[in-house]
Amino acid sequence: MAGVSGFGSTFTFDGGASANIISISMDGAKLTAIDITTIAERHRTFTAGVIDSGTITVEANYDTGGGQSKAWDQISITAASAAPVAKSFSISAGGAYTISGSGIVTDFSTKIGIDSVLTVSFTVKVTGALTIADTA
Amino acid sequence: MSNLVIAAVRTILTQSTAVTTLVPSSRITSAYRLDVGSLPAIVLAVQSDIALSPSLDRQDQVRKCSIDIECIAGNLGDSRTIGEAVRVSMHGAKGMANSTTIQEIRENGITSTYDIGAEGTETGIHITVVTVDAYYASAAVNPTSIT
Repeated sequence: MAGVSGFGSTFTFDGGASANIISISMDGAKLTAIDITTIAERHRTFTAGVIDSGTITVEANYDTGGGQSKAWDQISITAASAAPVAKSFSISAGGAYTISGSGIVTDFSTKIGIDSVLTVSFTVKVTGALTIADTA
Repeated sequence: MSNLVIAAVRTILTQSTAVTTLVPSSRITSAYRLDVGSLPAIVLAVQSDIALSPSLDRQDQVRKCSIDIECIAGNLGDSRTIGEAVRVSMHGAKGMANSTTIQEIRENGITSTYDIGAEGTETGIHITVVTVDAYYASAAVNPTSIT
């Protein structure tokens, strides 16, 4: 089937599902291409370097039930006594596929505006490899 | 839910002495008004009731209900005076009424029109419309599985 609705997608961090999510974006894993061209060659040649699994940004409507508390707790100044460490995360994309791995919350912000609900967003830097699996 | 919001808005209006001094509570209605009904009067009408917080997990509950508060009088001055009293009482109103929590009501513009009346026996009326947006939390959804 070509095309799957994103409704029902979820983001789980450290075992806690974030609620009221309005978007999940992943900037993509990147592999460094190392230039190994020599002066004897007419065309550039490369070899594969290391893979950066990328960053995931989650936007959500502020949840009065603490639906974003797992991400907030990790970066909160008030919780600084507990040093942030990588936690497991999982994305369920519309029931079509899942992306899972380990990451660290690096940003947490909120937006307050006229004629809109309170929103929060947080960024997870992925560490290590990603696991992508079809579920449909 | 918009019916409960309308009821809540009517409750706010009837609890405002500035408004009821100008328009008796019995003439503040969300029902129809007879062409020959007594003036002044206030009639409420819902223009839209939209979801304000759509989310992927369907837990969105905040909605915006836009309501026209039509302030009807025999002359423009009286109509505008009622409209101003309505604006002052409604802008920023919040609380619980009719089991519905209104997070905030915002006044969103005032217009005036003159209705000349369609029948020869009708008298013209001045209508000042105060548009307000009521932000409220609706009930959680319970989606039906299609089988």
